[in-house]
Formats: sequence, C-alpha cells, structure tokens
Amino acid sequence: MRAQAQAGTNQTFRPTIKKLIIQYRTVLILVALMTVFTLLKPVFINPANLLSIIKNMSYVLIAGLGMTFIITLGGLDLSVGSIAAVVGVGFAMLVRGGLMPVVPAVLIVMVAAMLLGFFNGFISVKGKIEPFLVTLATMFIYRGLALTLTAGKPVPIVIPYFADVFGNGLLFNVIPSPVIISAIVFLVSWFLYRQTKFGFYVRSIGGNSEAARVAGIDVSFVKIAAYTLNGLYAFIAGLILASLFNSGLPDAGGDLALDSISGVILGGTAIAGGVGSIWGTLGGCLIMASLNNGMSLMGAQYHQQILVKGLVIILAVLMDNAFKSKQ
Amino acid sequence: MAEHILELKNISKTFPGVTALKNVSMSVKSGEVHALLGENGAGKSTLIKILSGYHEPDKGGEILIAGSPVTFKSPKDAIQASFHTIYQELTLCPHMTVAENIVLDKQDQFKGFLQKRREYQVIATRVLRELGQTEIDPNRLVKDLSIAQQQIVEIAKAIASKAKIILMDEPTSSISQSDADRLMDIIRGLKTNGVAIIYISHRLHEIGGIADRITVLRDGELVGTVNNSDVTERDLIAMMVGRELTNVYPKREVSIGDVVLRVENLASGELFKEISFEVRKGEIFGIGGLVGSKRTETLEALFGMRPITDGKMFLNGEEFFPRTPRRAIKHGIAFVTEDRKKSGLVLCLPVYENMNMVNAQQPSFAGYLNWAKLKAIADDHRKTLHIRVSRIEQIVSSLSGGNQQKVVLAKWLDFAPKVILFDEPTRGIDIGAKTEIYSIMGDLAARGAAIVMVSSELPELISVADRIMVMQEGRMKGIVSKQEVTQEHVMSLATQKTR
Repeated sequence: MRAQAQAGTNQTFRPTIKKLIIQYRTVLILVALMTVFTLLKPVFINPANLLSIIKNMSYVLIAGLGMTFIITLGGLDLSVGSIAAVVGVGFAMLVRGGLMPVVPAVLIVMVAAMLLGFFNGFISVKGKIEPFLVTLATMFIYRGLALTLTAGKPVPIVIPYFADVFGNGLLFNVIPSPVIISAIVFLVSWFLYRQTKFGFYVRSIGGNSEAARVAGIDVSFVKIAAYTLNGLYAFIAGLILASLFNSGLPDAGGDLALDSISGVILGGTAIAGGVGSIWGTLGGCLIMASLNNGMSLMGAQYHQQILVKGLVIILAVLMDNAFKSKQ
Repeated sequence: MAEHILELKNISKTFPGVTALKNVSMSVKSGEVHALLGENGAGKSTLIKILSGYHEPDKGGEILIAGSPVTFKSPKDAIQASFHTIYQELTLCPHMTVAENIVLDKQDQFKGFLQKRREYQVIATRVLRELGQTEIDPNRLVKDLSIAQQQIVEIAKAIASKAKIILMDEPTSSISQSDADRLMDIIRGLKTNGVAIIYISHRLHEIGGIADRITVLRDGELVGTVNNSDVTERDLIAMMVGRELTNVYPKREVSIGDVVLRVENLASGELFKEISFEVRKGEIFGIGGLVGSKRTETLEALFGMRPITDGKMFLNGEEFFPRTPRRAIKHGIAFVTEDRKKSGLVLCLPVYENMNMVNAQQPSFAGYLNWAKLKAIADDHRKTLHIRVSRIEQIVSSLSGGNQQKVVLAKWLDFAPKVILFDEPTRGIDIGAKTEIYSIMGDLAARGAAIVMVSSELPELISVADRIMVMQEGRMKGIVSKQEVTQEHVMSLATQKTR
C-alpha cells in the first residue's frame, strides 16, 4: 500500500511532458490547426476572420455547453437541433403580424423549449429508457412539430432589432452579438459546472450514480433538471439561428446535435460520463469551426469539410485512448 | 500415469496491498470429489480464478495436470487442459439453444463457415444421455430452463469438452433440495467415470455427504487436507476459524447509552424476514453470517435503498421509514458500503470532492460551492484519518484500498450521524489500515454514534462488536453477546442445517 501511495506522489509532483500533452491536447490540436491554416492562407489569422469563426460557431458552442452537462452525466441529447427549430418557428409565428410583443413571445418559447427538455429527462428517468433512445425519438417528434406548425415553410421575422440583438448586430461596431451571447453563456456554464452544487452533482452522478445515490444526491431530480437546462441552451441556440436567418426555419439546426456532441468529445469530455470540461468544449468547438473556416478559405466545399471533420474526430479519440492506455 | 490428476505446488497470489494466497499446495485424484472449504475471504475465489485462468499465480508456484506442469494464461488455456469451471453465476448464453451452448467453446472442431446444427444436436443428445438427463431437449432455449437444468447444461458442456477436472463453485446455492439431490447423483456418476470434482460449498452437511477429501483454507493459507471419513463437522468448523486473535483489534471502553435504532420484525419481500434488534448509543452491533445470508440487503433496507415490506423501524423512539437514502441521511443515518468502487466512491473525481459529497448538500446561496472551504475541511480529514495522499486534488482511484476506505468514511463525518452502517468495513485492505479503521469506529462510538457492522471476518466481528446477530438465508439465527461469543458458536449458527 505504501508503495502505491508513493507512486501516486511521484505522479503528481513530477508532471511529465506526456501528462501536460494529455491535459492540453485540445489546445495543442487547435494551435497546430491554426498554424497550418495561417501558413497556407495568412488571411485566416485576421481578427475579422477570427471573429467570424466565433460568430459562426456561436450556436454550436452554446448547444455544446449544454451538451457538456448532459454527456458528463453519462447521457446524450439528440433532440437539441429540433428544439432549436421549434424555438425559431414558434417565435416567428408568435410575433407574425404583430400578434404578440417580442418579450412575451421570447418568454413563451423559452418555457416551451425547457418543457421539451424536461420531457426528454422525465421520460428517460421515469420510464427508465436510455437517453439516446428517448432523444432519438423526440428528435423526430420535435422536428415534426416544427414542420407541422409551419407546413414546412419558413416563417419570416420582420422585426429589425431582433436580428440585431441576437444575430447580425455588432457591439462597439466590432463584436458580433452572437459572440457576446456565447461569451456570457460560456461564463455562466463554467460557473455552474465548477462552482455550484448542480455541477458537482452532475459530475458525481456521471462518475458513479450509485455512489451519488448513496451519498443522498437526488439522482432523478438532477438528471431531469439537466435535460430541462439543455432545453434552455437549445432555446438560446435556436434564437440565434432564427435571427441569423431572420426567419423561423422548420429545418434549422439539423446538424446541431451531432456538431455539438462532436465539439464536446473533441474537448475531452468522456462519453462514459463523469469527466468533462467546459473549457474543453470551447476548444473542441473552436477546432471544428477553424476547420470549417480554414477549409472554406482554401476553397473546399461543405462536402470535403464534413469528410475531414469526421476524420479529425476519429483521430482525436484515438489519440485520447492511446494516451490513456499508456498512463 | 500420475496418481494425481491435478497438483498445486506452493501457489501464492499477491495483489497490491493484499496477499490473497500464501504457499497453497493441494492435490486432486481422478474420480474423487475434493471439497474446498473456507470462510469468506479465505482465498477460495482467488484459487478458483487461478485454476480457471483468470489470474496467474505468483512466480514459484506450479500447477501440474496429470504430472506435467501447465500455465494458464487465459480461461481458454484452462479449458484446453481439460479443466472446467462451473461458476455460481452460470455463464450460458440465454438466447441460444442447449445444443448451441454445449458446443459454443468447441467451435475449432467444426470445419467450414456454416453452423452444423445437426452435429451440435448429436453431441448434445449424447452428453445429456451420458448424464442421464434425457428430459432436457437440446433444441430448447437456455432461458426457458430452470436454474438447476441450466447447471446440468454447464456440466454437459464440460463433459462434451472431455473435461477431466470440474470445479463447481457453490453449485447448490440457488437450487432446491430435490435438484441438489439430483446434482449429487450426477456428481457420483461423474466420479465413476474418473472425473475429478473440486467442490466448493459453505454447506458442511452437503460436503459431508459427497466429498472424499476436504481441503481447508484460512486467510489465504492452507490449513490442511483431511479425509472426509476422519472428521466431523465440528472439526471442520474448528479448522476454518481456528485463528488467534491478536491485538490488531484495539479494544475501547465506551459507555453504552439509550437505544438509538430499533427494528421490529423487519422484512423486505422474500429477501429477509423477521429481523428484530436494537442498537444503543456508543454500541457496535455486529451482523455475521455467510455469503447469501442477506446481511447487506438488511443494511440497504435500513438506509432506504430497498423497500421495507413489513415490520417497523424506530429512530430515537420515533417510528421512521427511510424510503430513500436521501431521507435516511436527513435523519442521521450514514452507510459505508461494502463495495467502494461500486457505491462508495466516484473514482474519477479527486479526493476532496469525494469527501464532500454529502457535505456539499448543505443549503447554500444559489447553490454556490465554496471549494476553498470544502478543501480545507477535506484536508482536516486527511490529517485526522492519516490518509496517505500527497494532495487532496489527487484522483481517488489512484489511492490504495485502505486509503480509499478512509475517504469513504470521511464523507460521512461532517454531519455527525446518529447511526452508522458499516458493510465489510475492512474488506481488501491491509492489517495496518484495518487497525486504523477500527480505531476510527471506536472514536465514532465514543462520540455517541450507534454502529451497525456487517462483517464476514469472524475475529473482526467478535473483537470489535459488542453484540452479534447471526443471519442465515434472510433469517435471524440468534443474537450473542460479547461475553458468550466464540468463533465456533457464530459459525455453527451461520451454517446449521435449516432444511
């Protein structure tokens, strides 16, 4: 036993280079990627381009931050894109023709999005169904809802300041409003994840739900709360999407769930739960967004972009496993 | 041809922090039923795992089959050396047929890509007839068979592989008496065919009826091998427990106060029934019994992890039903579970977070956690409990068993529990750490907690507990006080025949 404790001591006092690489692998991949793109296309590193990268990834990052809680919990939520679509068309329909002022309309779709998230969590917990299955089903249901409400057609939003606040507006004429929103959401998420009981419970349950239960944590409540919260994240992402397009699109956010899950995984959050990082999710989303942007600059199409995106995910996870098994 | 089909020479097995087996030698003859006996933790499971290829013995040990040395690097090696193990938890594929299960580990014999259903069936029919079990249809799905029939399929599987040695681990633990009798007939039949059987059971009368020779293990060491005809059940019990009590169990004088926890006729479905006892302030109440006596389940019911279907529970004189762990904790009950990895710790989180898992649930503004404060609390625990860890930020899985157990304990200390339930508090940790755990338990009792401790280690139970309740198969077999208790007494209560 002594020997083991001793080994532990050495490990923590002499952080090897390998350990540092593991800890900062997301940053390393990001820096490497940015360096390559800058060398190939110097315009990549322009502040304006960097801002547009962050603007374009804002809704994925926001969904990814919510997804970090869900995946840390050992769950999954495939329905966020569909919730975002419901939010967009719901809002557009509520304000169409001055039916309702903006603020109550926003509040209504917010509550609706949280209810959809609550439904995911409630069915999964009380019905004892894998969240993957539940949210696979609700992904269809909520998408069907958005399509049914609009008969499949986009609903334009004719409120100019709405687009400014959530989509194409600029703060100090420089920073796009989605960047501001995602920065705020990021800080709040970090606080929630690291500094509150809720985040602690999520990490404990994801790491070992039985131990959490024995310690008196209300596992069902925390799980349902996390899915409800994820509905709120999907709501914010949905508003940004709607205002970027200036309309409620029933097919908006089709890639949102898988893109955000990819960002979370690239950020080093374990799909098995328990171990995760809000900063990592930021890094993971930045990697994907830089990849998209850099490849576009080089003239690559969406077709090639997703091809490379998939390869990068596999490489990152392989790297992860290789490091872990060597530990 | 050697007389012994299986010989073990100086088999040892050390795990980090624990020596599970020390220089065990034994031999098994063809056509003999050789019983392996020992308390929980005596080293039987480790020996089984070595024999079936899951663990390799430490260097210096030797396994001989029919006189020639073998090394089992995987379960497959063991099967190829005609050694077959039938585990307590059967390992058949429930959704496949009897015949498919019987040939599953012999696919090398069949050529070609396609399944040879007819051949499978022929083989299955032949071995089942050999065992005299013709009523089992080879085409039935295993999941539709009774447990006893599934066991026979396991045996058939071994016979079809021409197994020369069959190890059976507690084969009668979950079957009825008539099925057990039939199993004994099958075992006798195997004997006459020259198959050696290594038979593991806690049931002494059963061993008395079937075994030729008996090997007793204790604390990972060989006590001896005896002929069944030479010994009585009493002798066997003495061999199993005959251990000196040393001063690893620090005694402590604590004044015993009022009754804190009282349980009347407690039952949880069919698991356990009619359990009644009371525990006083400052008292350590032990629960003894063998594996399967439902001691853990009883603790789980007291902690709200299992429904209480009958009976009453009182805390400080007031009737109380825990319902959920959360409610139990709110009423001052703590539970140090048996399996640290399964329910005691979140292994991927650091030491200080694990220590604060209960503490963090105290009300706070907007759910804010002051980690600086919580870390300071954790660091105090590290010092008072002598937890050997360089930094409390270390991930808890990197700690040794004893230190992990102290982390589990630390989790419960801040809210001053009135009742603390301990389930096998020193399982898998070394002597030094054990002593420390006992003295922590003594401190807690001295501070007025009522302690309930389940333990399979008799010396521990006898020297730490003030009174001991012995359970057998979900029933209470008696409560013995410290003055009248002996290891033999507890063991005979735990093993006496009930049927």
